[in-house]
Amino acid sequence: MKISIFKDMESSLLERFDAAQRKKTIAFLHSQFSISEYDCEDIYQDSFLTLYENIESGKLKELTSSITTYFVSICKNKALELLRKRGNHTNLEKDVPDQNDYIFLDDRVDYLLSLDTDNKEFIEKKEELVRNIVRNLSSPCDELLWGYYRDGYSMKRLAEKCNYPSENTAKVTKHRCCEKFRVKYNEMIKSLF
Amino acid sequence: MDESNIDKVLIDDERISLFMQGKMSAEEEALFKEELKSNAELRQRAIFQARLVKGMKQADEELVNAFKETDKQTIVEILNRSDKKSKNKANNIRKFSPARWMAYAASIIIIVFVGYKGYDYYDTTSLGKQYANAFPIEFIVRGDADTDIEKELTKLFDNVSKSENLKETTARLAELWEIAKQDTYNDYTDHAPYIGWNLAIGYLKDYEKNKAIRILTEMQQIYPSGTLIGNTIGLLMKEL
Repeated sequence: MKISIFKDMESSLLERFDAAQRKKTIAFLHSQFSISEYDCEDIYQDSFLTLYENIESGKLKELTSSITTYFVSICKNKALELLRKRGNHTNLEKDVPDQNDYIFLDDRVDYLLSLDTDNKEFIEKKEELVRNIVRNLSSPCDELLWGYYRDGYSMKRLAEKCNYPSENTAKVTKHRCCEKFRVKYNEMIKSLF
Repeated sequence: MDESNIDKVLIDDERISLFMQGKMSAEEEALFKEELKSNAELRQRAIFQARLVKGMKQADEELVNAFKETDKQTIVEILNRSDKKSKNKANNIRKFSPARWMAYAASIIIIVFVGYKGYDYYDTTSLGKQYANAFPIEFIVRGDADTDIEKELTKLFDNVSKSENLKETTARLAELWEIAKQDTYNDYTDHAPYIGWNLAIGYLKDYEKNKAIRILTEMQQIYPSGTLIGNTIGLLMKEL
């Protein structure tokens, strides 16, 4: 039995996720697999339900990448399945994050956070603010920051994925994204608290 | 920020990552921890990056919990609502289906009466329309356009999408493409693939086929196949 009082809040989070993913995922599937937009829409809807079912059934126990990356991998698998059924074969680029090598360890992250001497209540508000900002990043910061800090891609891999001429360019852009984020975050902290 | 400063900042960024990834030796880690105590700037940047890592993890956990707290019926309703919205948009295009057939018929008439040039015009501009939304503006500049640069690009890309002021728009995009594709990092580097893409689409819509092919050829050298944009360029080039 679902708790109805949370229904609106939860569904609004899911609606925002759907709104953020739909157009770009369909555009990605369309261009990557040369599948019609109608089929891409079906794949998207199916994949969204599969994501829900995997979470509900406990099949998705622990996320080792961002939920967006996990969702896109479901979409890719469904697109490949459709192409196979139609007798088309396609070579999908290797798109596995360089995990294990680039995982951020909870104890180290917690150590750095322990250096923040603000009180617990204030820190919780800061965390909420960060969650809101990271959900609404614009491109290319969205791809770079989520790719690096959450998905475990190396900067070299991210430079290739995001079409940067060199790893260094990607590093500079990531740094600029962090700074942009930090300025926005500090401004909001000042105005809110 | 000058070159030496940015180099130092990038090195510090890397050290913060190495620490969080547990990749420092015991000696490096001890030194880093000491420096965190004495260097307020480094400490603030480290705390901030740690907050970013934790915030992303929490944002994902919230989303997973939202899925868990929602029943299947609600998920289906969410999907149906947004599908309806996108179908409504798509229907505006699909409604043109009969017109499209008339356009095909017209193109045959054009071939007969006007000849190849007329057909080529129809074919080229149609390709521009077909590929115009391969990278929607929301995909390129999501949320609010924060800077003057993003605002200008949003306007230019929107002009290409709506086929408005194509001459002026492609002229400005051509200037920006020259800057964006330079080896040295600049304000347009991040947007280079989309500037190039919109310039090529703008040229196609404006029946400047040779110019479009030139830009796409340049882009193919920069963005190889295997990348999303490289693959899309490849598909378009096959049709030209």
